[in-house]
Order: sequence, then C-alpha cells, then structure tokens
Amino acid sequence: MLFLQFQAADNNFGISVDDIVEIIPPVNLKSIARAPAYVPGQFNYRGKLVPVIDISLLISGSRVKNLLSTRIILVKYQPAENREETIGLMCEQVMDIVEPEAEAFETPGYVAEQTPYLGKVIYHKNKIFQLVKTDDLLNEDLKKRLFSEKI
Amino acid sequence: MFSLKYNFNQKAKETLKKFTVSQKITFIGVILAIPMIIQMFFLVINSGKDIDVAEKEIAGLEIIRPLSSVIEFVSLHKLHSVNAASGSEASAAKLTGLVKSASTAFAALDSVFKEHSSYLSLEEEDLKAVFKQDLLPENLRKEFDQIVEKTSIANAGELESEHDKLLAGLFSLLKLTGDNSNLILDPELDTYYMMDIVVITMPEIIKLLSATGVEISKTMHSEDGAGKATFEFLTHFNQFKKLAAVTLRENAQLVIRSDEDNHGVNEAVQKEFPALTDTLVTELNSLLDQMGNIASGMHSKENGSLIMKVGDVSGKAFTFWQKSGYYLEDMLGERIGYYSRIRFAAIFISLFAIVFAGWLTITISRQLIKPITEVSKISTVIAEGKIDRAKELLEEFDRENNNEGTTSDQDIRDEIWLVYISMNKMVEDLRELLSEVRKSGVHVTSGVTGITSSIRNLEASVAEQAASSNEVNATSKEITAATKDLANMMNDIMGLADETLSLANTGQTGFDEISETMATLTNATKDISEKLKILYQKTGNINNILTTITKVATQTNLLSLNASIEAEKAGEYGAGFSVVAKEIRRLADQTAVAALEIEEMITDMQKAVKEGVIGIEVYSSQTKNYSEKITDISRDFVRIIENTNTIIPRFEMINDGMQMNTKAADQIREAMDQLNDVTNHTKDSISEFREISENLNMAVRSLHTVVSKFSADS
Repeated sequence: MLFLQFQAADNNFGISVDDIVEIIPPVNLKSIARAPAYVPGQFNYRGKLVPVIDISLLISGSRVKNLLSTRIILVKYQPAENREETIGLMCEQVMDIVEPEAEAFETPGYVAEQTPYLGKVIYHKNKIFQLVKTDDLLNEDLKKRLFSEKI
Repeated sequence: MFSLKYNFNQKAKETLKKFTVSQKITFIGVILAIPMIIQMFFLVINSGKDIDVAEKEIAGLEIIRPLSSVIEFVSLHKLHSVNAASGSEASAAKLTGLVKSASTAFAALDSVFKEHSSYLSLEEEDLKAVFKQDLLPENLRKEFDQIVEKTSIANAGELESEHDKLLAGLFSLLKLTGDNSNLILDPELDTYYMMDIVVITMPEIIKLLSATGVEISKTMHSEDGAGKATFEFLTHFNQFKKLAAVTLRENAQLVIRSDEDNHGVNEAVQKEFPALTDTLVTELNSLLDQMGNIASGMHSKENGSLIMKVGDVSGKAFTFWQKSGYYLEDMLGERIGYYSRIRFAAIFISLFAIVFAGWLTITISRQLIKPITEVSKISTVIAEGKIDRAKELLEEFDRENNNEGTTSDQDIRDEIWLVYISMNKMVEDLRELLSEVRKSGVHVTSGVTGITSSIRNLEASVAEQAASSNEVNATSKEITAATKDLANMMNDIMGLADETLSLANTGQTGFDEISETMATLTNATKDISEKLKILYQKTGNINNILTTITKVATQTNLLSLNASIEAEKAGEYGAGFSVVAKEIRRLADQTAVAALEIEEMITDMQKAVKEGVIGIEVYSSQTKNYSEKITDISRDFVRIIENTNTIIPRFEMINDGMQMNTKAADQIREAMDQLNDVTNHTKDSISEFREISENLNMAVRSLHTVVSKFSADS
C-alpha cells in the first residue's frame, strides 16, 4: 500500500493514496463565518466549493506554517451513504510517498476520545507513522453544517 | 695644739685598728708587767741589801764573840794580876789558867778576824788609813804577851795601867768592828737593844766589874787607911749600879718588846732571855749590895772573897754576854730568813703574777677572741644570707662551749655571750622573717614581673620609637639623596627639553607629510566602499535566481507526487510511470537541496561584503579622525615648542627650590639625630629605671617587712 507522508507538530502521519484526489499548492481561501478555527475557509475546485481543514491545528493545536512544502491534499469524503464529497486537508512537509508492508501495522497503545480519526501505527525507514482515517475527521455536527443542504 | 693632739689620737686609733684583740691585750699586759718587774727588781735589791747588812752583822758578831772572850780574860787577868801583885795567893793561882784561856781566845780571834777582815774592811791597810794599826789582833796579842811577861815583875799600878791600855785597844777594836759591821748603825729596830747589850752594855759591865774589883783590891791593900773607898771606886760603882740595875733591865725589856714588834717573834729570846737577865741582874744586885757596904765605908775582911765573887760574877756576865751574842746572831739569822722569805716571796709572787697574768691574757684573749671570731664568722655567714648555715654554726658553737643549762640566760654577764644569745635570737627571728619574706617574696616577684614586663613593653616601644626615628632619619637621608637625584634629573630634563624642542620642530614637518598621506588614503577607501556596494547588489540578483530555481524544484516535486498518485490509480498500467515520477521527485529534491546550499553560500557572502563595507566605512571615518587629530597634534607641537621655551627658566627656579629642600632635609636629619640621641638616653634611663625599680621594689618590700616585724616585737 502507498501512503502520502506529512507532518503535524513534528509528528509523522500518513494518508492512504487510495483516498487522495489530487495535491495542490496552497491557494487563497474564502473564510467561513462562525466556522471552527481548524476550518480556515473554502475554495473553488473545478466548479465545486471544497472546505479546507487545518489538520495541524486539529491534531496538535498549532496553526499550519506557510512553507514551500505546505500543500492542500484533496481527499474523498462520504458524509452519508451513496454520497461522495471532497475536502481539502492543509498539511506541512507533503514531500514523499512511502510503501510499507501491510503486516507491519500495529494498533496504537492509547486512543483519545477527541481523536477518533487516528488509526494504526507503523515503523518504517527509521520513522513512526500514524494513519489518518479521513472518513472520521469531521464530527456529526460539523458534517451536518458543512454538507446539510446536500443531505 | 688641739688639732695636733686630735691627730695623734686619730693616728693612734688608726694604728690600733691594725692589731688583733689578742695583740692589744698582750700589749697591755706587757706595759703592766714593766712597773711590776721594776718594783720586783727594787724589792729584791732592797731585800739583798738588808740581807747583806744582816750578814755583815753576823760576820761582826763572829769577830766580837772571840773578842769578848779576849776582853773577859784580859779583864780577869787584870783583876787577878793586880790582886796578886797586892799579895793575893788565890788570884795568883788563877793567872796561869787565864793566860792560857786568853791566848786560846786570841788565836780564835786572829783566825776569825783574818777570815772576815776583808769583808768588814778591817785589813791592815784600812786600819793604817785611820791610824789604828795597833788594833790588829796580832799587835794586841803581842801587847798582852808583854803584860804577861811583866806580871811577876811589875807592881799593881803599872799592871793596871798596862791592862787598861790593852783593854782600851780591845774596846776600840770592838767599837770599830761594831761600826764596820753595821751593828751599831743598824737601821732595823729588832736587834738594836740586843746589839746595845752585846756591843755596849755588857763590855761596859765586864770592864766595870774588873775595874771595881781592882779598886776593891786597892782599898784592901791601901796604906793610908784600910777599907776606905776610893773616888774611882765610887765612880765605877755608880756607873756599874746604873748599868746593872737600870740600863740592862730596861734594855732587856726593850729587846722583848722590839722583838715582838719587828720581823716576827724569836721564841728562844722571848722565853729564855728575861729569865737569864733576871738571874744576872739578881747576881749583880747582890754583888752591888756587898759593894754598897764598901761604899758606905764599912770595912770588912770579906773583901778578899768579894774580889773572887767579882771574878765569878764577871764569868756569869761573860756567859750571859756570850748567850746574848748567840741570841743576837739567832735574831739576825731570823731577820735574814725573813728578808730571804720576803725576797723569795717577792720573786715568787712577781713571777707567779707575771705567769698568771700571761696565762690570764692568753686565756681571756682566747676566750674573748674565739667567741668573737666565731660570732664574727657567724655574722659574716648571716651577712652572706646563709641563715641555716649560721644556725648550724651556732649549735656547733653551743656544743663546743658546753653552754647547757649551767647558767640561765639572765645571769650571764659576759658581753660576748650576750652577743651570742642575741645573735641566736636574731637568727631565729631571721629564720621566721625569711619564711615570711619568702611568702611575700612570691607576691613581690609577681608584682615585679608585672612591672618588669611593662617596663619591657615601654622599652620595646622606645626601641620602636628609636627604630622609627632611625627610619625617619633614613627617609630624610633618602629625601636628600632623592632631592639631589631629582635636581640632577631636572638638569637632565632641561637638557631633554632642549632636545624636545628640536625634535618637536622636526616632528612638525613629519606630521605635515603624514597629513597628506592620510588624505590620499581616505580617497582610496571611498573607492573600495563603492565597489563593495556594487558587489552586494549583484549577489542579491543571484539570490533571486536561486529562489526561482527552488520554486521550480518544488513544483516538480508536487507534479511528481500527483503523477505517482495518478499512476497508482492507473493500476498495472501506471507502474512504469510511477517509477519515472519517483525519479523526477528525487531529482527535484536534489535540486532543492543544492539550491538551498547555494542560497546559504550567497547569504554568507552577502554578509561578509556587508561587514567589509561597514569596516571600510569605519576605517574611512577613523582615517578622517586621525587626519584631524594629526592636525591637532601638529598644532599642539607648535604649542609645546612655545611652552618649552617658557618652561626652561621655570626649571631653573625649581632647581633652586630643590637645593633649598636639600638643606631642609639635612636640617631634618640633624634634628632626627638629636631626637635619636634623646631616645637613646630615654632608653638608657628606662633600663636604669627598670633596674632601680626592681632593686628598689625588692629592697623596699623586704625592708618594710623587716621593720614591721621588729616594731611588732618591740
């Protein structure tokens, strides 16, 4: 399996390549009024409004830095069954793709209540990665507010 | 005069001090012995004289004894020869015996006379000198012999006168002997009356007896009237009566009394002599009674027997006379014994006194000197302070002199013993004193130690003062030296100032050249600064290019990522493409890294250039400052030259002041020397004071203790 590698607060995380639509450089975002801090805004992607989530702020509480390696990863998202949407994840150090063995994944020792989206852990090329499950990223409330009309 | 006397006294006293006590005592003894010896000498001589007188008298008596025999026999011969011539048979019968006795007596007289004649100055020459050579016994004997030859031829008258002549010579000899042998002029009273009896009374009685006998015979045979007493008879009778009745008796009594009064009593004389005298006197009285008849004119036929009786009485008187002579000799012997005893006693007592005095002198001086020596020795020991030794000596002295309990201390009057006793007491007191003094001595010692330590401190501080004054002295010397050095230096500096003047002049011209060079340097740095600014701008351009490169590389990376994702989506068909995308991504990464490195290098270069520009600017401004300062210095040099010109005369003034300073420093040094002397004196005084205080302290304390002790005793 292939995983796209990124960093949040100096920790390595990975997103499955199967979920990724495209990787784009950072663009100017239109902010959403009264949205949580980790949702900095939305932008127009190929005629469709896509919300962007600051994953660094979501996971570690610190805002993402403006670097050359900071990019927006567009991933597939299913708010409900038979319905497919796209969300942008703003991440740092989006530079490489890794290909570890499937058997090497292990379950994490501790899963916090606030982070249901963090999955298994893998040790690969002297680095520890934790997988991010994109479907569990948004809670029910935010999911409704972002995609209500469409539901 | 007084002073001379005083001097003599003083000198005598001084001289006496040079002799020991025993020598002085011996001296006194010798001086006292001299008059004693003189007295003894005179006493002995006087006794000798007295003895000599007595011996002469005895010698005289020895002559008188045969002489008296001669007188007796001659008198009897006279009586009987005259009587025989008158016709008496009885008298004629006695004549031959009488002549024999007389010649024996003459022989005895002659030999005795010859024996003593020189001693009594009765030799022929002596007698010739007084025209009495007839009195020599030889001549008298010749005379008697002639009378004896004539006896039968001559008549009574002739015989009487011849006998009288011979008797007169004999009496003369008797008197002369008595004179020469001092018998008559004997100054002693004891034998005077006995002598009177022997030399005067008895011969007279004998003479008178024969004379009266002759007169009786005459009366008997007178032709003109028988029995009538002649005038001569009466005269003789009265004389005889007076002598026999009064003189002899009185003399005998006086003999007894004088014997009692002088030179001791002669027992034989006292007992026998009165009785003898009484007997003789009775005989004489009875004879006198019978003669009294004749005197009163009574004629009797008994007259013939009376003459015989006269002869008998004459014999008795002669015996008495002889006995008296012996008594006299005995008394004289006694006197000689007395004077010999006196002489012996005088010699013995004197010698004994001298010896005893000598012994006393030695003993007393020993007794005096030994304890005095002991006491003085003990005093010396006490004076040396060895009280225990003194005590031992005193006990030893005590033992030697056995002064144990025989006399109590109050009864002793010997001053030396008193000294000894007081010394004993004194030593006891001293011992007690000593223990007390020792006790107090500890306190005194601590006190003195305290005083001594404080004096030492004082001394130390004085020494410090002396040291510091020495230091000041040295410092003042140094100041003088330094001032002199400084004056020398001033002179040097004045020389240097001249040199400075010339150097400043040359320096000024040098500075002008430097000023020009600095202006050129300033321009050159300005050029360098501008060129460096250009270089900085150009490196900035390079940086822009590098940014572009980095952006391209990032885009390439993004592209390769998307390509990889697309290739995955394409599945098996996209596998080869995935590899290409991966390779592109790797290149893009390397490019980005290289760009990053270049960027760093450019940044460093820019920084260095920037610093270089700043440095050049600083240098430029500094050069500008230096240039300005050099200008200032140049100006200062001008001022220095001016000042130096004005300074030189001031230095001369300073030099004068320095010399004044030198003198002042010399004066300080002298003053310090004086101070030093004073300090030394003070030091000496303090050390003296320390000694004195120590001594005084000790002395005063001990004295105080002693005085208080003695006052307490009294």
